[in-house]
Amino acid sequence: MTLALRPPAQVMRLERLGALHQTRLSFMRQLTRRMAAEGWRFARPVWRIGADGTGHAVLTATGPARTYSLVAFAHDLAPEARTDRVIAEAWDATFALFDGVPGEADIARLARNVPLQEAGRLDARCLTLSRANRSERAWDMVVSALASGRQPEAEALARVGYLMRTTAVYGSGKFGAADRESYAYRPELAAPFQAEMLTVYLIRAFVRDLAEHAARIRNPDAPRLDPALAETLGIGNSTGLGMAPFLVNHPGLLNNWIAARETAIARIRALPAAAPEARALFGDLLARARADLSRWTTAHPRQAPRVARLRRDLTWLSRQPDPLGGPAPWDMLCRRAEGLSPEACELVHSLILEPYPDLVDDLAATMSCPDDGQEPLEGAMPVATLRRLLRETHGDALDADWDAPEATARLWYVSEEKQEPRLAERADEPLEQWEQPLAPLRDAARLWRALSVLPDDRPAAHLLLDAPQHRAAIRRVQLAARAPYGEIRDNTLAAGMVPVDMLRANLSFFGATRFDPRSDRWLRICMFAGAPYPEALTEACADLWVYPSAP
Amino acid sequence: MTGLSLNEAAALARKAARGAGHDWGMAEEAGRAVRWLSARGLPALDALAAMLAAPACAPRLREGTLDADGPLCPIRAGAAVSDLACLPGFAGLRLRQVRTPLLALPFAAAAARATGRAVRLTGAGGATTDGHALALHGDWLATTDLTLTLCDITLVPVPPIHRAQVAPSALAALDALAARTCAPATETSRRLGAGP
Repeated sequence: MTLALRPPAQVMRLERLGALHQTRLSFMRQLTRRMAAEGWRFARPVWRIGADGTGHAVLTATGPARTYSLVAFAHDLAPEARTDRVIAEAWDATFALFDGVPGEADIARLARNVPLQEAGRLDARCLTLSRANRSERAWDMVVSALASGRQPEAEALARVGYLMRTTAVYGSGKFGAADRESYAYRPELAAPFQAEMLTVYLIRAFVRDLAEHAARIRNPDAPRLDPALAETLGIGNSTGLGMAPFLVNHPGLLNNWIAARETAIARIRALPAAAPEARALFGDLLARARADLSRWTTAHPRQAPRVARLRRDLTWLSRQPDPLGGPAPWDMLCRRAEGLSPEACELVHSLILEPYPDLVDDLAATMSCPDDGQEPLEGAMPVATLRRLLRETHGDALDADWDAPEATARLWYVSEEKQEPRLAERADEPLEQWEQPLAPLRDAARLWRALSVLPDDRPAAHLLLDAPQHRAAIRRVQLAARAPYGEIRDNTLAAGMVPVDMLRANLSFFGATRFDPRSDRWLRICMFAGAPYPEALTEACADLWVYPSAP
Repeated sequence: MTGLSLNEAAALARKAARGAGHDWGMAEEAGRAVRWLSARGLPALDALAAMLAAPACAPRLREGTLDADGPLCPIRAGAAVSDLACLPGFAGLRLRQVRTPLLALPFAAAAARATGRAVRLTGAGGATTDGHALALHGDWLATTDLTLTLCDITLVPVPPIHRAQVAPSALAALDALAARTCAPATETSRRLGAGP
């Protein structure tokens, strides 16, 4: 059987990208598998948190060649100052991931800068910068229970799912931190976002310890949080429009993520048969995924019905007699799944990868993009080829009425006030002079129109001397020919565009779960829920933790 | 001097070039160029601040020469150099009156990668790049008229420097230009535009 990948025109739609789920290629799972396989050691050499709940701590993670340290500052914020906004100015805890083990001078320097977040300054010894706020409800539940000598109530705790949630986790040179290129050669950080995921993994351990510390302040005999309960807790995260430009601005990287997932799916669909163990594991994980759905709570008017439909679809699927009988069973299953909702279809595509680490996990090494942003522009390419590539990439969308107001109803811009991306209605606010270049399809259509009056053999180089405004569009369509999953095949300015779909796609590759949109432009998620804590991380539990035990 | 990460340097250059009136595609080229030069220890942000401080012109291509009616913009002329790399007549290309020609070198490097041959720009001083490493000769900073040739030498690779140094005055000038890419906040945008 051949490996037919699903075409970009099917996969790279916002509707589909907004229904993606984590897979065994997700960056969190790559991290926990590696740390377990390499026998990483973890320690907490510094714990200077006082009776007032403030101070600092250092948690270290030591791999075969290097140690990384989470330097955590606890601030014990007043309730009225606590907010989900990325633009807040105070947090319950702030963090940096330090390259190595920090000395006193390093910690003193970090203490002057990390609590300030965006207003502070890091250096090349820092890999990430982050901050988190408590979920007051879960925090009080845990601390009060432990302080009164008992464990918190599991069901109530599961409904929140985390003790703290981060807003931004900054890396890649932000605020003076180390550039990714400076450490991407290290095997443990070669896959995307490994420094960021390690940061969150260590934050989760710190937050549990901090809650236990808070309980012991009230009652020195307070018990530790039951490890089984602690394990169900992840770290929450609020993600907003700040992440939306990332997918558009990193087409080479996006291509490599999606291509890895689609290649893995195609490999499994190509299998002529499924061994009994593989079928059993799939059945088990399908049941566990269904169990996890009970913890996926959202009141969002678009997402809540989708989760309900997903539950129904998975129930239907689990009742099919022998869904993996017959030849090419995984392909048949995927064909059936295409009749279900996008949520269910993509979850099935994620689940079929699980029984086959030997066929899937090598693709993890293809998911970074060393040339990201440095891809060449081919100036000798003639107009006729550019036209063909535009048509192959964007199809009929080039012929849409781009002068119609609804086609460019939205406008992306960055506000002076907080330096964060925002989305406006073009007709409502005079913001065009500040418009950000986040509309590849509109720009491709403009290029298409410009090319229509040019001779076929005119090289791009000559065209660009006269019309430099098409430079980005030419570069993108040339890249799309080499990296076809790098371009979203939808209009990011359309009146009905839902930015949360872009965020969800990105977050699913991190390995996030329980997507809870709070509007069309920001959402809450959960990270590392179910994962073993550092002291319990073994190869036996390093991988499938994302699926809770079925009831 | 202030040390920025290469990502910060590239992002600042991109925004400053846009703020100075370049369109986004060319502003991105400015970001790439600053990253490439900074990684080789060259004062790219200082050069960009100097370049953006006064008008520079878009190039015309006439009889193997990129020129303009005034000083030539090194980003736009540089982009033309890398775009023309695989077309006939590339070797021997001349550039007239290039402002801050340092900023054109990353594009010569892109051309070298595209052609598989080293590119040399020669005037009063000279620069040679095999696409990765860069060698500067003579009075490079005073050179404005350049002739491009291809050659087959390999330069000794130098490890990249992951910090970009910038003079405080240049940083302030670039920050001011970059700020022009941000819209003044309005009540509507505060209320409607933002995520968390």
